[in-house]
Amino acid sequence: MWDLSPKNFQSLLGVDSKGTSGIPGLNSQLISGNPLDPEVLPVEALVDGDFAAKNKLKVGNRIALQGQRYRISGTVDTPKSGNIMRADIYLPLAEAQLLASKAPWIIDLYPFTQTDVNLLFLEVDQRHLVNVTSAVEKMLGEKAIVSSEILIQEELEDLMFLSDQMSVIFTAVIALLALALLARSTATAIGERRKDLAVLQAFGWTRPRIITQLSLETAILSGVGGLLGLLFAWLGIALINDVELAMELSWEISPSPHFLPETDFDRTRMLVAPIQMPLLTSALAWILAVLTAVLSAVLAGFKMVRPHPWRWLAEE
Amino acid sequence: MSNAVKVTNLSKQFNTVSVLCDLSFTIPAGKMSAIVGRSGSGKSTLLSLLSGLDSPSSGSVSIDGVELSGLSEAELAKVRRDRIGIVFQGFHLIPSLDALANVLLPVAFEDKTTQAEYQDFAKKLLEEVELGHRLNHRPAQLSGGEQQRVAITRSLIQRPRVLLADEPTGNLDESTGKTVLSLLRKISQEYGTTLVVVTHDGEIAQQAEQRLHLSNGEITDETN
Repeated sequence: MWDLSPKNFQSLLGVDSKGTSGIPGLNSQLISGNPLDPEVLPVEALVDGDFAAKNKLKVGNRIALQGQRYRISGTVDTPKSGNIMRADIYLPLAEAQLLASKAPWIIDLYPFTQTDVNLLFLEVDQRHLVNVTSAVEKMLGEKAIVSSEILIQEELEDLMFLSDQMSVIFTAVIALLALALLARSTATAIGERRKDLAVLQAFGWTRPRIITQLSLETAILSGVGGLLGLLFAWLGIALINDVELAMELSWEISPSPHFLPETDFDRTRMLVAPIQMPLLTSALAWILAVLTAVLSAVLAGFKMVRPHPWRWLAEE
Repeated sequence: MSNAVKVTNLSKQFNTVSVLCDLSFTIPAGKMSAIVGRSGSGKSTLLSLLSGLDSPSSGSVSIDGVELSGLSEAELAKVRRDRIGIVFQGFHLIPSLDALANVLLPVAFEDKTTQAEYQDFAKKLLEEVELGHRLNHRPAQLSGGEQQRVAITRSLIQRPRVLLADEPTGNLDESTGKTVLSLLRKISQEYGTTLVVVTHDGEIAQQAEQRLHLSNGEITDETN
């Protein structure tokens, strides 16, 4: 919960006295002072090391939370503790529940009682995850958000879908650029041959015949070139195979409780991204390339092969 | 004797510049004619009109009895294919083709049987110009004189009635030029082709049966 006052604010987390993600986990990463004992009265608090440094708090100082003053028993290196939620101040769960049930900004939102919690972490056998998740969702209704590997998977799928869409757009832009380059290079190549084309006219070739010849040559060249390009692409794919990315999972998207200090859970996941060049896409790209080249050849042919070609022959 | 070329009131203007003015002359069939003049006199322009590769501003050109003006583009192409051979000063061989393929270029679209006949004829012609051993050489592998001989062979492959040569020795040294010219004459005579040579070289012009002197777009002298 947030402890709000006119001058400042601080985050407060009530932690369970049991379990490695609770008080024992925090106590294992003490920077200074003594471990937090939930049985000690009056109740004491642990303070995050960074928060303590920033606010010049020391062990033995007292910190005020909603009018209550708590002695700081120790400071803790929260990130190393493996605690799921990072807060400024940690209290035993019962004390935090008591404070929350009296906080007007919480009561205004929800009738929070002394036995309620707003964060609950469950360790679930992977095999029963779907059933447990759906049972918890049913139990809590729409008032709670149930987050699990399933939700993470769904979010990842959304991310991947977005990534796929971006890839399609990116590929389309690249393809358009490639086609434009192909058209331009074809037209340039034909432009460079205008003298040869004029020679053909001088020896009786008609314009349609020359343009047909140009189109045929271009179709063959672009067709063979396209096939070679595809062949190289396929060879490249065969060599690279799948792309493997080692990715370190943050707890937010981790399906397992790797944050527990004693677990030797490998936080890295190997993501395999298969590289594919579907036959249909390849064929489509090939046809498009050949058509573009031929169309460009026809247009360049009409431009370059003029009815009166003498000027190209008399140029020298 | 019939005329291979008949030019009547031929004029050519480029924008407001008059390059050829009201030319009229005939060239007898089977003879060598020289169109002589200095650079800029309009010789090459005249050749472009005789070959149908450019159109006149007014007047008419008749090649082997066929009036060029009024012909469609395809018909003009057919006249060039069947009746006219052209030799350029710059050879204009296709660099990617060998000598034989260059010679066969004008007949590339003939049927297979005719193609085979042309192939034999092309080889015979190349033998005649002493290039029998260079059939598969590309232009870059040939000397200037050899390239021009290939170009001459190419212009004769369809046995044209009129052979138009634009400064055929212009890019060759004197000795090679003489050889090429005598070859051109010999082959034209052998195949009964009318040879029209455009030149600024008086020595070449002297070899022609007919000489047309061109100056400022007009014929100033005609010697037969």
